[in-house]
Amino acid sequence: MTFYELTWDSPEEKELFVAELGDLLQTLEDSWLSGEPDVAAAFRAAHTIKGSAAMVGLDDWSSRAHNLEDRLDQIRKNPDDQLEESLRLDVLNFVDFIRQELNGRVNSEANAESSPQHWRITLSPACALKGARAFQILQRVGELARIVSSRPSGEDIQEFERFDGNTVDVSFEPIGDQPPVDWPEIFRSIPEVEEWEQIESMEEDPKSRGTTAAQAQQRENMIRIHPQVLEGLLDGLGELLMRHAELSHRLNETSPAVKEALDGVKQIAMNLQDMTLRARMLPLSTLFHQYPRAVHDIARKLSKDITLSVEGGETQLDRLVMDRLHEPLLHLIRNAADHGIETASERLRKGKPLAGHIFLQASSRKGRVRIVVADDGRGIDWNGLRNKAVARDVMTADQARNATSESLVAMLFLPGFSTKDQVSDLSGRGVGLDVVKDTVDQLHGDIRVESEPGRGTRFIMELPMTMAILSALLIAIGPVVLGIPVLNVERIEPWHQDDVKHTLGVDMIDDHGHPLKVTVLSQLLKIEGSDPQMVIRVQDGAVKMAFVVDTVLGQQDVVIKPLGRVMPLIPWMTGAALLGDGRVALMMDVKRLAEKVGHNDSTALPEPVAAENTRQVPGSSWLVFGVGPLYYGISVDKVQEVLLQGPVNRIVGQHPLVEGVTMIREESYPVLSGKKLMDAGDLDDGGYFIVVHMSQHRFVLSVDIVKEIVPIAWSQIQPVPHHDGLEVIMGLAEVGGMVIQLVDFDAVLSEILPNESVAGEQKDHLPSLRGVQVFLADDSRLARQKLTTALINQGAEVTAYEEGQALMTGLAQAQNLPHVVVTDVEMPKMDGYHLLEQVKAEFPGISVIVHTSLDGRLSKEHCIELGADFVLTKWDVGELVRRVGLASHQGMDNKGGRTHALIAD
Amino acid sequence: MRVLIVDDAAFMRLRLKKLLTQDGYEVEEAGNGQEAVEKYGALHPDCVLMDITMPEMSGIDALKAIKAEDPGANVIMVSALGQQAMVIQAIQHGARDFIVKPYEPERVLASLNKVLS
Repeated sequence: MTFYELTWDSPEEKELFVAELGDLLQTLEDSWLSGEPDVAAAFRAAHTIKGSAAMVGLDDWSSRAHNLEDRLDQIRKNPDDQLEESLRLDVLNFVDFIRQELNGRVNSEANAESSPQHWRITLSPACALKGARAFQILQRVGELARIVSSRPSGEDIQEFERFDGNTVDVSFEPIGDQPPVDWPEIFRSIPEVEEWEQIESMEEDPKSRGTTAAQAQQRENMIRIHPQVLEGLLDGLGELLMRHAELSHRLNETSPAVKEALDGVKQIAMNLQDMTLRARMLPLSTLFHQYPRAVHDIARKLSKDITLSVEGGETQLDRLVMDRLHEPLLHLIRNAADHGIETASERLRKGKPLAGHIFLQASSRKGRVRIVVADDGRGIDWNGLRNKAVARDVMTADQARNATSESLVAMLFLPGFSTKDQVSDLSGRGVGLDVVKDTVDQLHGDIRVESEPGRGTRFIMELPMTMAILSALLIAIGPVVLGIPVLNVERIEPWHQDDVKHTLGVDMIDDHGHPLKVTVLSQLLKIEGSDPQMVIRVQDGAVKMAFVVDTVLGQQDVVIKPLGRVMPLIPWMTGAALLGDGRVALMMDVKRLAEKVGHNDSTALPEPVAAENTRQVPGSSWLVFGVGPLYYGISVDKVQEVLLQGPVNRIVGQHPLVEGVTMIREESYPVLSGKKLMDAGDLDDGGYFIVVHMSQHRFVLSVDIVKEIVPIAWSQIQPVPHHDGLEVIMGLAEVGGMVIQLVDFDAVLSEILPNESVAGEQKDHLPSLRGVQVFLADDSRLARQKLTTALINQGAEVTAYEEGQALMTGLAQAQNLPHVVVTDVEMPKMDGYHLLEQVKAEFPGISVIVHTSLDGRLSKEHCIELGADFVLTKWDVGELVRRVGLASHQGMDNKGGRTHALIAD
Repeated sequence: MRVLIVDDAAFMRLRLKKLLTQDGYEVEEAGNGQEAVEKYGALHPDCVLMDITMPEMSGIDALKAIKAEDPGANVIMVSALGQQAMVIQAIQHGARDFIVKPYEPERVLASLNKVLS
């Protein structure tokens, strides 16, 4: 292979190769032409040329460079040896040789311009795989002549795969002194070719520009610039734009002519900025071209047959970003080769092609570059990961069993976590996926994993095209404009004060069942004239929080400038960005802002509920309060906020538990006396109001003190023996040596509410449940009684249990399985979520209805996720009866389905 | 002229065999890539008509093996619509032509004529 015959991934790659080579040759030459030869520099240059030449397949160059390198190495190691004159000649001859080869290329190109032939070949409209046919034509032409350019272009196989045109254009020139070719005869010999004609010239095709004479000229003139120079230019331009903004602000009221001139300056500065940014861009092929070789080496080391296909090498990326991508990409590729792709025998057994395939693909969209490293190997071993998570103490056995694929994938990125047991020679040398993730994070990028067992794994990286420009969500608070990196924005939604649970000075909103701290930015930043309307949930790594802002202005790509020189440093602002309209937006750093806000909350709130606990360990969070000498607990899900006690207006004729009403933000709430409820005697009036929101009712519970929020596992809760009268306490739990009585507010609510039983409805409007068998789990005796009565009235057979475990035992022993299971959520021993999960796992034919007093949409979503057929609000008994009717049909159908499935097996 | 038909589907082999025999070709068959490579080595047919997707050893792999043994081998690939990338790969590895299923009998004969002339 000579330089003349090389094929390149892209014109840029070739330019870079030539430019670098030119520098190296210069170094070699200079090292020898000066008085005292710099052997070390010459050695390094020869070494680099050897490597680059081998990489592109110039074996002749490489072996010549290798010989030279050997000789220089000898001298380098023995500085006392006499420098031979012959060595000097060899070095210079080598330089001349390479230069001649390079120039030969340029010259031959220049000559080629004089006599290429242009042909247009038309395919039959019925041709099925036009791209393949076009490829075949060009392949055939290429056997007989040297192709100068073509459309579709021969530089990119993918272009053929996408090609669906009817004509193929090709320009070519004869090879050396070959006899003339009868081209029409050649085209005729290819199937599905309909016509061919010689044309004047191919119009300029952007894809093939790389080989025109003009380009050769341009290449000669290419110079290399140190990245720091570009960096300096960019900094200067950014500052210029900011000064401009300042200036135009001050000259706001002056003549239109001044304004116009200023706008002109700004336009020029912005154009320059754009050009400078582009100067830092390189096609990814400059990075990608080294991987085929790497894969080849890795494959050989692992004794696997692996092919690599590369796509999208023309995608442009900031070289600062690219420089840092090499290691992560190499790691992912090694990972795919080592862990992903199976051995040949394993692949054979699975009926896969023997050669494993790694796919490296880049594409760009809206200023973001997406790089995919995919393999067609065995995929991620989920169970292996689960075991490992337990072995490494990252999860408990229970958590691991229930862990979603997302949380397992997240673990892959933890430091020191690798899926392969044995540390192999190639990957897993301490540099793990965590390093990949770190790098991507630092580049303001994002990485995620998709995997299908037996089919392969895809790592998908998304990066900003440049580090100097950031895609920002612009928000307004009063007159102030701030920017948040779009990457960090998780969700934007209208702000409702009602969603907030105000707990001991900290505002929380619900976030997938976890409390999420919410900060009103106008208060934090002391901005006047704000009208909070939107809440934005943001996330940066593990840090998650919510901001309340006035409005969202939109998304914009902004150039970030460091703040230091312009205004005093604010730690959680990363920089300033100039907006199109000349305003300056401060860019927020989510992580640092969270640190600032988080600092406040460690003093205000006793250890916020550990996020994982609420989901992974079956249980929930309880707000502990005191009435008299005893402590009680209420489920946090039901608590809207905690306030200092306010005035209570006593109203006659209320239920004895209701003390009166109080006004909170101009709304009246009934106030329940904690003392009366707990039978705590008539001591002094307490100091706090707990605002409770459940089953679409709001009321206030007056208590003496509010202590803390604690997580309690359902298994920790002991049922209490019930005596006659109102069941207020659903169970007991011991937390930190303190016994907490957990209050069953469902029972309390049903007691104080006007009667909402099914009796109020026309019995005829409800479906008959004759023959329907229902198992019911609810820890409230009152609820059991009401529901059972309502269902039996419609003809159903009902068996009631006090909690989930009892119901599961009932199912295991039942002669006839019920059609429907109805369950409460909050119960001791086994709660509704787990009951639901177990019933659906062991008896998939049984319909499950969850009725809950938790108004949170998320707990409902959670139930649906776990497979609940219906989720209902507690105490709407009529609805429950209707749903049991519906579910029983469903249940019967399901059973039918199950029988079929068994027969089919 | 001797043609080796390679397809894992016996039905497809039968149809091709009928077509080619009628046209005067001598026909050999192979039911998978491995067998194709072995038979090619033993019989040296003038042309191979090979399905591109076969279990175990794919048409492409078999093509590579045959070409490694005999760089002058005439191999025509039989592909389905939507396998453009694979066909291109096959051409890169030296397939002389390709036929897309479903095909007219004349297409097969025309391709054979062109490749063998």
